[in-house]
Amino acid sequence: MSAQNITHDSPTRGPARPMPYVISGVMLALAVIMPLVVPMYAHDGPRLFSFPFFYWYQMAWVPVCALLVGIAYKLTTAEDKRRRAAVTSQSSPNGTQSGVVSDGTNPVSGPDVTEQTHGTSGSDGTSGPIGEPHKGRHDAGGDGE
Amino acid sequence: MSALTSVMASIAPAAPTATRGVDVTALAVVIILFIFVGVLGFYAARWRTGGNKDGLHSLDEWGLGGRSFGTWVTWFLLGGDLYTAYTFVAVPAAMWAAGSVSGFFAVPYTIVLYPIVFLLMARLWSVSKRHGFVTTADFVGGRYGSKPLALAVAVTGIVATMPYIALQLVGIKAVLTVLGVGSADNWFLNDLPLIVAFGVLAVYTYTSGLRAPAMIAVVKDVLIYLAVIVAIIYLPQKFGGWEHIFGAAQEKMTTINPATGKVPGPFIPGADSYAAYATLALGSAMALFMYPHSITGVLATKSRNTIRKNAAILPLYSLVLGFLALLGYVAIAAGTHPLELDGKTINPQLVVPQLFLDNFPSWFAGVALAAIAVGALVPAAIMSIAAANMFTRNIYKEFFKKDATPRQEAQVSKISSLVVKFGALIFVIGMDASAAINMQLLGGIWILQTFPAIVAGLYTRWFHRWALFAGWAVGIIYGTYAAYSVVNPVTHAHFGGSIAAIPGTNIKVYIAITAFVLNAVVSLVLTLVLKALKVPVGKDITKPSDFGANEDDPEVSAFAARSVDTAGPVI
Repeated sequence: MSAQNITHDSPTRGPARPMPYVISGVMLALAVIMPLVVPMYAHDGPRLFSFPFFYWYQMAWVPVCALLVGIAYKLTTAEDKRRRAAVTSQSSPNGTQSGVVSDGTNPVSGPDVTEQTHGTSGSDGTSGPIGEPHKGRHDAGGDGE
Repeated sequence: MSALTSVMASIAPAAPTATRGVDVTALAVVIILFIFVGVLGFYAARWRTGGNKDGLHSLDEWGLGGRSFGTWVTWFLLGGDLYTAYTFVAVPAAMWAAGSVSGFFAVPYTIVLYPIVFLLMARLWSVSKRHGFVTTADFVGGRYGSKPLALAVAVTGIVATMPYIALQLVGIKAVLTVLGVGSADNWFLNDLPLIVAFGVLAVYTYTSGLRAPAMIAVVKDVLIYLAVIVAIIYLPQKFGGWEHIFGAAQEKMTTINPATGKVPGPFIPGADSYAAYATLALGSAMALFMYPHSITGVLATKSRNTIRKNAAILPLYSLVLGFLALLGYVAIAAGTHPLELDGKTINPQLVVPQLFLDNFPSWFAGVALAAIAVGALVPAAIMSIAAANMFTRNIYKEFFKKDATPRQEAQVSKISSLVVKFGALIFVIGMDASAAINMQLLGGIWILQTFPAIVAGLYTRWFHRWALFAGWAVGIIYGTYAAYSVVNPVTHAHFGGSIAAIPGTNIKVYIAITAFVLNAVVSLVLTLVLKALKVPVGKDITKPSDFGANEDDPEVSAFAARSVDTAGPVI
């Protein structure tokens, strides 16, 4: 398997550039705040096609919201793609991630080791069994893709 | 001028049909479409299973449709999931009976919703895909290493979902009543069509899982869009244009109702209801994607960005909802008389089905009514699947059978989906609809109290698990008490609404928001205290990289053995 050297600690994406997220954040904030400032639109006029302002203003925010979210989608998916590409190009030459130190220091073995660490780290009593569902989880459909 | 004609309009057509006859043509159309949809539901079992020998014998396959839905299937599925039959019945009913604050807030609610979905759901999808989480309680349990917190989220989810399913039955019932099906005298005959409809729903959900509502949602949407577009073009012309319709609505909303001695409600919200209007929209939007059925729709998508793309195209439904809401005003201008089967009681929830039946040829009214009835089946199926998944993962597997195999999980989930639906049916038949509506109102307040645990967890591990638990408890207790204290001015019954003044002020807001703020403050303060006392924070099985993973990244189960032995919590 090609995934041999990838661990849970391997990053899935490279570092982010702030700009696409800042712009998207502003777009999304507008789409949340503007339809909620009720005093701004709770009046009758000006009417549009006989619709009081209160009603057409809110209806008009539906396509505007779709547009703003659409722009945010374009920006973040492009950045997402770039960050993902940054990781794969980095990891392909030697097959492992820079900065992942724990990979070499911990002995890698079967479920027994897992059980042991569960016991020690779960000192507060409740945390141990939480990790269990994933052990030996039957992974339906996932392998085909 | 318009005010005068509107008075005429509201008085003139007050000649109700005293006894309800059965509209045979409309009923036949509804039955044919219902059978078609039922067959489709069974056929869905074989849809996109990709020749998988295991069939639907795992929660991923039965309960999440194989986590394989692309953009368009998701659009239909979530559209059918979020904009339920009850929404289509209750929103225009509220507009018809009480004006803009209790009805039209649904429009800003379903606008504000999508930026929130965009922000939160991609991260939840990634971490869930990577760890095989099926529910939000799975995520909370994994993130905070806290069984009580996960259980709190699961129980809140299940309890909030049950009355929501019951309300879908209220939607079907409205359609059946308007069609004249049922009997005011015999309860069994009265509820028989409902029982049959739910029998069909239960069986195909059992066999096909989430694939059935996904497929049926397509049919339902075609019918709904058809009905609404035709109604919006045709009806305003028939009733003197929008000018006259808004005039008639304004007239009704400003005329004192002799029964209450008050006006029905604001036509346009006044200064005293600004806060209520905004918080109803915001609180409902924040709460909607905490419901298990919404999360099921999200986790059934095939890639991280499917849900984000959908956040940009789902608002189209909000436009339909806006026009549907305005049909409540159209019904005022049209003088629609929403009478129960006994021919005496007025039930606002019948207003839109009645409007269609009065003003369209029977066959077309049948199509519109079928759209509502089928529209009830889609969310009811998804909700019962979601609640069943939660029961299976977070109660059965967590507390009764830790080593349950995927096949056993799927089997338990199938059976509990039957139990959930049966419970909802008993609820609707045994109690009156107002009990379901009260419970749904409470459910909305309760489900928002899981927001801090789930949403904060998507971004930070700063909050302490016991602080979040205490915040949840405080929010639930305050919310329930505040909702109980609201008294209906006419009937003097408790749970009279979801708006109450913030304690110590006169500002009326949505109770869920007040409870949420309390919840957040308690979580914040207690986190500082518990951290100072060095109370163990619990084990976090997630890593920062999980929140950005997509479908190509390996799932944690692929390297579970090596991942767990790295040191403790990440943050």
